Amino acid sequence: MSEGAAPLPTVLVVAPLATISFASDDPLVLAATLLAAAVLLARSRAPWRLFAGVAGMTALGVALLNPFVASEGDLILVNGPHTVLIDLQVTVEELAYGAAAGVRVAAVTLICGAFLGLVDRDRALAGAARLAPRSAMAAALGARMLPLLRRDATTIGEAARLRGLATGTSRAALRTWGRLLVPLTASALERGLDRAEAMTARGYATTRPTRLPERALTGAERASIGVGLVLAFLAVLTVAGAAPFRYYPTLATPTITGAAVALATAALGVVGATLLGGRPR
Amino acid sequence: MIAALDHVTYRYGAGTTDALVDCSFAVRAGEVVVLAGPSGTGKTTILRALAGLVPHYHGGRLRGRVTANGSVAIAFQDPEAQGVYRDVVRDVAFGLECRGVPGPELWPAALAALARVGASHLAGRTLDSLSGGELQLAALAGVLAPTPELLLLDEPTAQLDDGAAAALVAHLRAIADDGTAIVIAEHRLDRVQHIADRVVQLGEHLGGSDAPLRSPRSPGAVGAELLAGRDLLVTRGARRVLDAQTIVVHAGEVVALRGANGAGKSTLLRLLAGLDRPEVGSVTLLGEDVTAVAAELRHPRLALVPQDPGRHLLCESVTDEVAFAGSPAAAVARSLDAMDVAHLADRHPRDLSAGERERVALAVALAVDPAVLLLDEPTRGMDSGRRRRLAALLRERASSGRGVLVATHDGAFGADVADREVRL
Repeated sequence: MSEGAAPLPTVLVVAPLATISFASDDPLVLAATLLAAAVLLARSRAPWRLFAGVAGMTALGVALLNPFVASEGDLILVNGPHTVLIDLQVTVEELAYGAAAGVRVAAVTLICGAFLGLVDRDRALAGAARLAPRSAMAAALGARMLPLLRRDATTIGEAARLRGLATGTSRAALRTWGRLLVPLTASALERGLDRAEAMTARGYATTRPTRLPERALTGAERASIGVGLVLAFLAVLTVAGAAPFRYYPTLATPTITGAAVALATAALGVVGATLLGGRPR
Repeated sequence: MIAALDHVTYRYGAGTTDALVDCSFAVRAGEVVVLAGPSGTGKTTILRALAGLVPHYHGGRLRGRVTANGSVAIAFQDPEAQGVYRDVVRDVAFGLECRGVPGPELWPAALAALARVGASHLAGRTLDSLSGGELQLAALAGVLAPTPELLLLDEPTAQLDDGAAAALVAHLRAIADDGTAIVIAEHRLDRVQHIADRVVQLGEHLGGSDAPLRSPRSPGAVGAELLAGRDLLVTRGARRVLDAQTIVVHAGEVVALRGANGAGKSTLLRLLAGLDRPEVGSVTLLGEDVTAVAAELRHPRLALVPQDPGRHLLCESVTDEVAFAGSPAAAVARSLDAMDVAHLADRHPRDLSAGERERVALAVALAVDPAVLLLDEPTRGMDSGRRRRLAALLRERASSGRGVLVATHDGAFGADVADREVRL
């Protein structure tokens, strides 16, 4: 059988974390989801450097952009002119909101990476096939697109290296990857199409399918379901406004409730990572 | 009648000419039909039409009538495109799941299918850890498992060693005798002809004479050492993929690398090209120790055409692809001509057929004129005429002082092209 955790406990842990990231503005809660996501990613088989790099770059971009697209906040740091497209007045509140938004984006990116690295992909595809029993294309693209993208990145990177282009971490390598983005996307889409064609050719959606009996959930997976359910409860509380926070016009003070939600989220995320992560680094 | 095409004309969505023109073809239960003919004469398209995959997955327009009575299974030319799951047994069981075989029977049935193609040892492994030949065996087990009434096989032995191919072909005859209709598109007629009830020849036959291309070289008449891998060791878990392997390529020689599926041929080529590093051992290129030198820094002294080069194309047109590494225009034009893809120069590489893509990939490697050329199964999907032309081209390179190392299961091609053979 393939390695990786069963989809249900994995989804139950990562989905509430992502929900909390999206629903909360409290900086402590956001920091807690980022911490939990980072631990989950580190305990998974995902290429953590890749996801951490993408998360960091995106977060930095969002954080730096916000002061120049928002024009709110009382505590002015730089009083530049306001143009049609860019607001050059920078406030402390804009910087804080940008940083929080960056942390949110980074946390969600790491959560996606952690899910891909933790879950048994074969069982995830089988699950996706249940959700889209008549469409091989939907199942193949939904469950295999990101893994295929990763694999194609390796293949296409090797093709570039065989033609003399560096693909390491240098500035030249960044230029190389810039040139490779289009073929990489085309290749992943083509593979997704191939996969859908293969599934159709092998009889997908022709009759009511049966399923290979799955192994029983392990003790750790059952325990992580419990962790996931508590996280889901926290997510519901967060959506209901249990950890409010205000950035504009002046920064609010973090609340006790927010701190409690943050502490619980971080602790549960770390426990979930320990239970689901099969191969600690 | 299990299946038939009745006056079918078809053009792919991205095609400029018809892939099939007024094609009529039928196959009966228990019959083995071999489709032979040069690349591009419609063998794969006939299989896709019988499987109901065109025009649905490839666009274009189909005229005429296609009928199929009973369950159909198809094994694609590229076994990598066949896999759905990562786990081998699970993937073999996929077709059984789709046919509604009860859950408790799936696992034993999948293992039995693997055993039928001689691939029981692949149980417990993942598809992405398999060699090309092992992938092909897993793909074949996957299509044989549901015991279809019509079995369509596109180049099923292209990546198999002689033993595995012979066992597979014997098994195919046995299941045909039990009533399954089988259509095989195959360039290696020597491997399948003896089990065929009918051979359908498509298009113009470009096979030419079977006489050797050249006189055998006298032993010892070789130039300086160009590339050498010494005492190379690679392990995957507890398995030794390469165990103290040594290989040397000299100027003016073509070396054939042979060995059973999974013997480590592709792994060895990757080490020599610098894509992977050996755990133990050294690699020298033109007298320089390059063991720790990355692949990009071995370019253009060395070029590798990997096993599935069609997946490695990077540009928007065939000409741009061949000129990608900065080769002079004259060298690009020569390579396009040599690989018979000059007429495709302005096409997008991803709009080409698998065989055309592979020829483009070969043209890419030839354009940089490397001192050492490494080829991994370059004749997969090539008709006999093109195989012979490629052999002549490689001989020409060798006679101009270059070195060529070619991993191949194609014994006839190896005998045609190589000065000597190295077995893993």
